[in-house]
Amino acid sequence: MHSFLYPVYLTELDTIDSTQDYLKKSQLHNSPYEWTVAWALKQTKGRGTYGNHWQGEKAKNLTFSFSFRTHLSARKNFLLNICISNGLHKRLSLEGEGFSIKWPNDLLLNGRKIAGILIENQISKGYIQHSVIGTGLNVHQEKFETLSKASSLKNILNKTFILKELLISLLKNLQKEYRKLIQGEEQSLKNYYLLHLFGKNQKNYFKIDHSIYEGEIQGIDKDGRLVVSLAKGTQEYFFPKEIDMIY
Amino acid sequence: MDLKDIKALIQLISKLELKEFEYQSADVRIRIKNVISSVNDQRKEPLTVFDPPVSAKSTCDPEPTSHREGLPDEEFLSIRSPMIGTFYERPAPDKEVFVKLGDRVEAGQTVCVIEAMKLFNEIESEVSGRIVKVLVEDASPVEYDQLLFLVDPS
Repeated sequence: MHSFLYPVYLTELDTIDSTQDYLKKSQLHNSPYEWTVAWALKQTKGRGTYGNHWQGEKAKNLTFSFSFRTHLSARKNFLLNICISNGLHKRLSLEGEGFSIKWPNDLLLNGRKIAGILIENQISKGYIQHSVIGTGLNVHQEKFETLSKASSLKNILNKTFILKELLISLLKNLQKEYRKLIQGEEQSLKNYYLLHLFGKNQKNYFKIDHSIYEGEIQGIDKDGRLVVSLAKGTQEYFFPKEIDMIY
Repeated sequence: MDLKDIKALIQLISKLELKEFEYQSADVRIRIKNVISSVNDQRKEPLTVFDPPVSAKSTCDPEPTSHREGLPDEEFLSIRSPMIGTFYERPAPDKEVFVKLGDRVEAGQTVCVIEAMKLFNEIESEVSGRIVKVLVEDASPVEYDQLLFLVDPS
């Protein structure tokens, strides 16, 4: 555990309502550059985005949150999405092929969702002051009743993992990408993200405002909106709730 | 159209309690936004915004002092959106609102969440005072620097 770029304070929990809430409630005012990490074998109220729940069997998956103090312009907040997605993607790609990043921040393996990210920032005076980032990675879970598009590393790669080793190694990768962000390597972060963006430059169908359109993802704009050129000849910009890719 | 006509127009708009009015002819464009009446019901006089082409300037240049009087920026402090995204007045759908009209907020207190591309940003107030106006509805889109709340510091 000595080769972290930033010191890590890890709390291992057996069962908790949500690692994200745990870190937010503990009000840990990290020193600059320190990362506080909470890892739980089971979350009873694992949180997805804005009220959605995330479910998993005990000790089958990797569910953790980490928090750090920072000073990034609020207008560049999408870069956090990029650097966290890239960090997960880089580490997981060591295990096999077929990983991609689904805009804005899901990880797919062969088109199946295997990881989700939840980022919560505290913003003051136009800057992100503190970030709490939750990650759920499906590792050994084999049955997915309610989420038909989800799968796990084990199901697809037929591999098993030591969860704690995987966690440490993911954190190291996430710190590397985060360092790029604070050192201003925005273009290289963006290039990697776009290179691995699911569906980019491919014909796909999209559900937009209750209708189905054919189009191609071109990339993202400076605010992180998805840029799609539609077959009807227009190029349009979308927020996450405005568009659904059919795949 | 001269200043007299414009004054008459403002009175009419004020009487009808219109929130916004726009008029355009070949050489003049007038946009009137009635902000004051929605902030403070005692003042019904609308705030006017003139945007004439340069050539028409002399004919309808308003007296700036009389029209700027009562601008919300001067009476109240503002809380603006630091990013584009979706405004949420509560931390989660089943939770209480962060702040409501009439509440006192302190600098550093979270007043809303702006969701931007699935990043959830808790926005802290930089000012202290009483919330006198909530300008954005829950779950609606906001632009960078858009006014979210007006705060009375007194």
